[in-house]
Amino acid sequence: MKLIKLSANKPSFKTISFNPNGLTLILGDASKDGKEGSSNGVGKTLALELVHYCLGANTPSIFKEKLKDWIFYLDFMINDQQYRVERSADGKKIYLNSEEIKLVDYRNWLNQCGVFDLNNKKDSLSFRSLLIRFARRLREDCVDPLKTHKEPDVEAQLRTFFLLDLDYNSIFIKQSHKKRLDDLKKTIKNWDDDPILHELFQAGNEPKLRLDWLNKEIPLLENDLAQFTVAENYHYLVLEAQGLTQQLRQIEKVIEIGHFQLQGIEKSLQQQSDISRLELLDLYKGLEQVFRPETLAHFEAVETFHQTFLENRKKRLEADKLQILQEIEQKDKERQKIGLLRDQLMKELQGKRALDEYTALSNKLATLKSERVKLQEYLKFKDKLEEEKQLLKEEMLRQDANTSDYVKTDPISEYKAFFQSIATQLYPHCMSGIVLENNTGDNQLRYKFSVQIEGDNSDGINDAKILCFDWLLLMKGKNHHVDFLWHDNRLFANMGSNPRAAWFKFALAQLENSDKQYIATVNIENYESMLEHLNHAQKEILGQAVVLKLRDDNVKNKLLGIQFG
Amino acid sequence: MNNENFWFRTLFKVKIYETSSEHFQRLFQDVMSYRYPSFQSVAPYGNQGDGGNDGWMPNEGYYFQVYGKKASSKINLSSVLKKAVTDFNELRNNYGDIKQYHFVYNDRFEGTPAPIGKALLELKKKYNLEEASAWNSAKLERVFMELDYDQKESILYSIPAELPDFIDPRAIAEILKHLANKAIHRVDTNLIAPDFDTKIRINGLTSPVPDFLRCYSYQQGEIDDFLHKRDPALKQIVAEEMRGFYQNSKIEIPDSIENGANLRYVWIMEQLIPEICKKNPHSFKAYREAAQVILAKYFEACDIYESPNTIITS
Repeated sequence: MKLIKLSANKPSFKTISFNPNGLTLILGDASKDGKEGSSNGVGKTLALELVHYCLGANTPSIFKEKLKDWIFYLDFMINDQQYRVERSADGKKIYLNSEEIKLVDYRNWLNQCGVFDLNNKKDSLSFRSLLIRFARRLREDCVDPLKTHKEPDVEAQLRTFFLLDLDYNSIFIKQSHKKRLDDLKKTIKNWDDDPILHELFQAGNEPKLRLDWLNKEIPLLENDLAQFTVAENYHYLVLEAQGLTQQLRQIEKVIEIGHFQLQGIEKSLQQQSDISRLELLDLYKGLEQVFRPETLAHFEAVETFHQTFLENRKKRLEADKLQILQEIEQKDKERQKIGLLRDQLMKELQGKRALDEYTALSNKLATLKSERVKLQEYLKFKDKLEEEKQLLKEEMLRQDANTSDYVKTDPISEYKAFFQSIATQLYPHCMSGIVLENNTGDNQLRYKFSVQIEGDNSDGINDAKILCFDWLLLMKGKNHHVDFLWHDNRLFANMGSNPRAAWFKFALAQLENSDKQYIATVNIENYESMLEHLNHAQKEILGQAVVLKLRDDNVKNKLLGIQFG
Repeated sequence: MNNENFWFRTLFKVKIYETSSEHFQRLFQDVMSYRYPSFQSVAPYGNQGDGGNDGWMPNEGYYFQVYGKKASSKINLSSVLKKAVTDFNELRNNYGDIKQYHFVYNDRFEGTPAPIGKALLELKKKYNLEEASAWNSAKLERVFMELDYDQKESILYSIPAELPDFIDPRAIAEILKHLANKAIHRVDTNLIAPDFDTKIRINGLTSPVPDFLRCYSYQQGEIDDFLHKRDPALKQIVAEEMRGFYQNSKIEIPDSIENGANLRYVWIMEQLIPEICKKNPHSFKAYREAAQVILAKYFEACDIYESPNTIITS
């Protein structure tokens, strides 16, 4: 893919015609006061942004606000086939080769157009996510050679590996394995911790113990039910038996009282026979001391009274005794009769129970059985999860081993050498290289992959590292047919003039016999400061490569030819 | 009448006979507090007295004035009438809105003298009351009988068993000792032994008392045991005491009273129990049963109640 021309429907726009091969330079000129950085805002970065816009980027809100009736055109070439896309600045209309196309379809077309070999590739690989590596647009895209703005580590590694045709599949695999493993762990934990599930199974924190208990309890209940004989009039019989028992107790109490009375009678009868005439006389005499003698004169009469009294009493008590005995006998018969009745009832009740008891038992059995089924399903599911977790861990170990083997083959040796050769030209005394290691850590990232130039914690060297790596992707990269590389001024700004000059010397030399486009926007200060490190021929080539000079002295000299931003 | 009702009704009657003045007032207040939860008793306060109010139901506007004459005194109609009317006036002055006024009067079941009823009727008319009436002992008995078993029991203490299956010999000994200690010696021998059933019939004792006498008489061996072990002379002394009680019962409970013989039985039973023993309601039942054993013994020996021979000869 090459860029041909960026234009717009407004005559004020400074059309950019890209050189078909080699270097294309867009210069940003400072205003008369010559202050450094004053070329900012002339449209260097905006040019890159417009190219992205025409190649399916989202619509920046400022376009909608400030460029309402603008239309931008990009002419480009893929495999010798020329295309023109036009896109209104409000983002509403896109025409590809004069045919209207929706943004989604346009992006799909870009994915399929052959610039990247994306047939049947994963979703995380797309035209847009890969193209950004050839045209870093935002400040955040220019921080790390391997990663662009807001790009997750795994996706960044995956895209880089895709473009270097390294083993990117294993990156997918580790990521998906790790994700699945985390999901499994989370699910298992959720199930373990879920109070609703615990309540559902009444199992507390020990569902397995509950299942063991159910397995013991259910057969017991089943057996109980099998032995169950229902007496339909169970309750009636129980009540009747209770009534009879109560009657029995009442009768027994009466008999008991009868016996108590008999005891009393017996005692009385026994005592009175013991009193002799002599004792009575003694008693009578004894009283003489208490009472007046004349009142005690008639012992004979008293004796007669006493005798009659005793006889009467004996007669009465004997008669009463007989009657009480008869009553006891009668009550005893009654007791036997009722006792027999109650025993028969109890016999009838033996081994039988009430229907509602049977129903309750059946219901309980059904509840326990249903709980067991659910509990088994739950435990089975949990076992399945555990099993899958185990298998996954095993698979991840296998993958670790495979990756280790792969790393040992040093698949990046060619890239490493190429990268070092470029870096050495910019920083001859600094170590540089690319490192590929297996990452067996408990995370989603498959490889430890880094690009290094000694001292790359300084902005200038870090920018140079990005330039070198992007060049590597352009020249040596695989799975793509991108034939242009665009570097914005911000990547050159922090570099010293010497390495910057070395970079352009290197680029010119590389481009000499290649069919690639290298597009750079440079502000005039950066441009001019490196010229002194170049020879005449090189300066000549650079000068010829300049297709556009943007200046901030007048709005007309800016990219859009109007005040913008 | 079942025995439970017999005991409650008769014991209550005996209590009415025994009580006078403030005891009668307390009995009335106990019964009313159980029967009517809104009833409030009034205690006399200093010079103000009770303001003519011995108890009231404030929400209903019902007021009660209680009057219990002394047990042995004769009714002084004019003083009763005066009390019924003056207390009402005092009540009006102190309390105002009166809907009903009841004069509670311990007539010992002799009936309320007609002038009292008439005076109250006049009060009703004069002050436009819903009701103004005399509550005599019979009315109070009816209210008492409406109480729950527990409430009745808490006023009269535990009643004796229908048929005892155990007699506490300690209670018998206690009563006998008590009788022996307080005995005043009198001699009144009757030298012809009576027939048990004839004596019951002649004296007009009616169910369930004859059954009690018969049943408890089987236990008199306990009395004989006690007397035999102690001083046999006590037998005579106790007999004299019992005779004394019977004589007193005839004064307390006049012949005109319905079921007087039965009432006397219960009255004597209550007299037999030493005051000190009445302080524990739980042992009261045992003492009442023991007292009946003694009653049966001395009934049979002809020391209490009229001997058939005496009646025949007289």
